[in-house]
Amino acid sequence: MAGKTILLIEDNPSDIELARRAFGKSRLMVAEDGEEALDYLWGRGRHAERDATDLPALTLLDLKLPGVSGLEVLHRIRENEKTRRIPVVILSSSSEESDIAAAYDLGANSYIRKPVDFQKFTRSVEQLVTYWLRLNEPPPAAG
Amino acid sequence: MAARFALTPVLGDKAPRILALLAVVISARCGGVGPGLLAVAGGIASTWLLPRPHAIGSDEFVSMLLFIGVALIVSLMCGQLRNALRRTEESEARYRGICSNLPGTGVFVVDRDLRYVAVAGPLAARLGYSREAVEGRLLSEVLDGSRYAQAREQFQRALDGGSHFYESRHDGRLISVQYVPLRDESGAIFAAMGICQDITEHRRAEDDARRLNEDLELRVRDRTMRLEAANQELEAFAYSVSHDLRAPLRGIDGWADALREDLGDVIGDKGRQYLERIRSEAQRMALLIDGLLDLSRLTRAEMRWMPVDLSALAGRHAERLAEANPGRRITFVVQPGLTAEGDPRLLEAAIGNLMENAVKFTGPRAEATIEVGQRAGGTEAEFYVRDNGVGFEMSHSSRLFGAFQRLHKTSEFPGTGIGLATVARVIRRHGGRVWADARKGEGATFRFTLGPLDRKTLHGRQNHSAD
Repeated sequence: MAGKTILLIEDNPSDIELARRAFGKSRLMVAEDGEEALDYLWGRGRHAERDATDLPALTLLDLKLPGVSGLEVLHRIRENEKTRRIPVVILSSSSEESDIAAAYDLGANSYIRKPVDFQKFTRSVEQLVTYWLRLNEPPPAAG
Repeated sequence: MAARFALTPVLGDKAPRILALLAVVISARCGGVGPGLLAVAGGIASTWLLPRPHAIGSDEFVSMLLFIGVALIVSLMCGQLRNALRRTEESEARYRGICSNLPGTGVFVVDRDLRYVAVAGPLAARLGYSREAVEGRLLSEVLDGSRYAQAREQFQRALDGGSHFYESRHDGRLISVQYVPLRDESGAIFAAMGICQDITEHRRAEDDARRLNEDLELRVRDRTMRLEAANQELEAFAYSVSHDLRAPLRGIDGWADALREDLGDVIGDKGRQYLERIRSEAQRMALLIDGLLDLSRLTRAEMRWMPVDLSALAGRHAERLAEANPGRRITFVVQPGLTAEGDPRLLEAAIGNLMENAVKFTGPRAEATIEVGQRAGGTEAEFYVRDNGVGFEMSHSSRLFGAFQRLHKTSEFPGTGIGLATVARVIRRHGGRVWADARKGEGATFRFTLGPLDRKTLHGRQNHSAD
């Protein structure tokens, strides 16, 4: 299962670098904005060569993104036949109730607030990987 | 006397008496009872004293007595008639005087034939209806065209028993007429009265007031919009604080940790200590930001009024705090049956903060006791959270409820200084007061009220009816 991909949609370079450290050996694909993330998932644009049936085992989505917002990306993922079942975990700085409610309304599987404490963050990431890549039964391919 | 001699041939010997009677009537009618009596006496004297053609016989004497009797009665009746007429005239003059002097008013009375029987008042004259020109004439003779049709309809409604107002314009003035039926003692309608008033100024003032009101409403709406915009801005600010200020802190903490992990050997123990300092500062700042966010959230959230079980709420906090501090011996005493009207989430935050504070400042005590209760008596419910902790100097209590204000050293009692500001804000939003009694080393008691009871009951009812 170590070969499975985690898609991280995050625009802050520092957060990306630190996430790479935290995820260690896991295969991490980083999309720096919503458009690129959708290109990757649907195998188009820069990622046209990619086998679009190979979906990430887990998608980590920041809500605050340049251009297409995190919630909009989630909405489009859920609207699309091929990607509507993929596990999406929101990884956000915000603990605003409205953000959390909107994320769940649009079909997020989980919502995690990024802790400031990096060691806590690393532990959260380890738990995420264990849960979604090892324990969780992945959804059957849709569409 | 001349008339008597002239008429004697026509009336025969009855002429003197008939003429005397006539004289009595005229005297009494014009002069009242006194002159009437004088005329009677004159009549008798002239009959007796003037040259007599023959001696007075017995039948002559009887007819003389009859004449005196009739003359007396006629004289009295005429006098009374005269008085009655005078009284009627006086009364009419009085009423007309009242009507004529009603400021800005005109009174029109028409009988059942729609004939003007009375017109009075300064407004009647100003509108062009003088008493002389109108009284005694029919409505149809005085008014023309549409004005007549209108007046006829309104007076007719009053004659049919209706009482109502009607507004019309005369030469740019706005006239309000109240039409009422006039009833006699038996209740039958014998006339209709129209009471006119010039309400031009009155209406103008009303219009001005309405315009002012509308203007005010517009301004309120405008301000509300601007306030809402400002609120939205504040929300956007809070949102961006939560996102944007926390991100660099994660970076600082994360890279400090990376430095420790990758280059820990190079920087040595001292370097690693400094890194820990950097990290704890970053985390402290994160706490401050979170505290500020909570505070702003409490301010922004809409109040939801409902009955709140404060005892249950405090009990939950007690459980949570006991679990969070397993190494401590804390006795929580929560008085049962504490209830209030308020927003449960806000009250939970306030009481939670007070109890957390109590736990924190009883830290040095081997046996901590934290009480939550309500003071007996008083006009409004007063709740308290009491601890046997380190207390504080009352001279500093004014700074207690300000954001970022702290009375203790961070090294002794860590904290952001936002907890009590949060409490104060919650209590203020409920319309209540919060204050503290304490002595250094002898514990502290935080007291609060939640505003007048009747207002909250009202809110509660509104809430329930909206549900």
